[in-house]
Amino acid sequence: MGTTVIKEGSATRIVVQGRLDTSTVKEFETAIQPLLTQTNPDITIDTEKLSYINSSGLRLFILLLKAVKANNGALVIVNMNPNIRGIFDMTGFSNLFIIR
Amino acid sequence: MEKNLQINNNFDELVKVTEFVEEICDELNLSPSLVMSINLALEEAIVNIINYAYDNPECKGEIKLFVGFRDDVLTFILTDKGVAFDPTLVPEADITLSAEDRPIGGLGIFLIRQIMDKVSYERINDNNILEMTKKIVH
Repeated sequence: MGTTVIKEGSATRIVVQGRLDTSTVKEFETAIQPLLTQTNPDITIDTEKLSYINSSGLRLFILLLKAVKANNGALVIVNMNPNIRGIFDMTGFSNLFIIR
Repeated sequence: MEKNLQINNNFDELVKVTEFVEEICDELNLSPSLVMSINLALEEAIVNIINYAYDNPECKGEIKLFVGFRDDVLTFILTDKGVAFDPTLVPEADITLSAEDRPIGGLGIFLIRQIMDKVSYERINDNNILEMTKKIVH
């Protein structure tokens, strides 16, 4: 598991890799913490190498989305693999997030 | 086919469950996406046991997992000796709500219900017994 936060001008790119589950979720939580209070955030989450997500990971996705909406920002998820997409479909997250 | 695994109430033990389940699923030739779903449901159920049934992390507790396969149905039975905790009583998450209205938690039991065909709970002799079944369609 690894979370990398890359600043691209005023935009932020978050690259998540490996398993986002109960034992690895803390790292992701710490990485997104500064973004929760940012004004007009412009965030892209790259999930190409995200292999697994459980409810503790999903919880942080929705937490980030709520903060982005409250701060008039944009959040896009890119390169989602079919397994993760399946979990997003199952939980209705596909309707909440912009996935490209 | 019948197999058993015992772990402690520690999140680090989840990797043992994943390996155990992957081995069984390999024997049954299940698709990678189904294996991931089954592992997800089991992880959610075990995380609930660790967090709620064994709510004092200082106390060591055991969690037993039985896996059986018969007549195209996979059966998973999780047994623990923690305080009574019935995950089937947790209200169903409303996945039609907007992002603003959706609670940030409560998806664990929802995922279990989505992935498994049947989920039932019993409290017998101070044990929590959670049985989940999944029909395998070839």
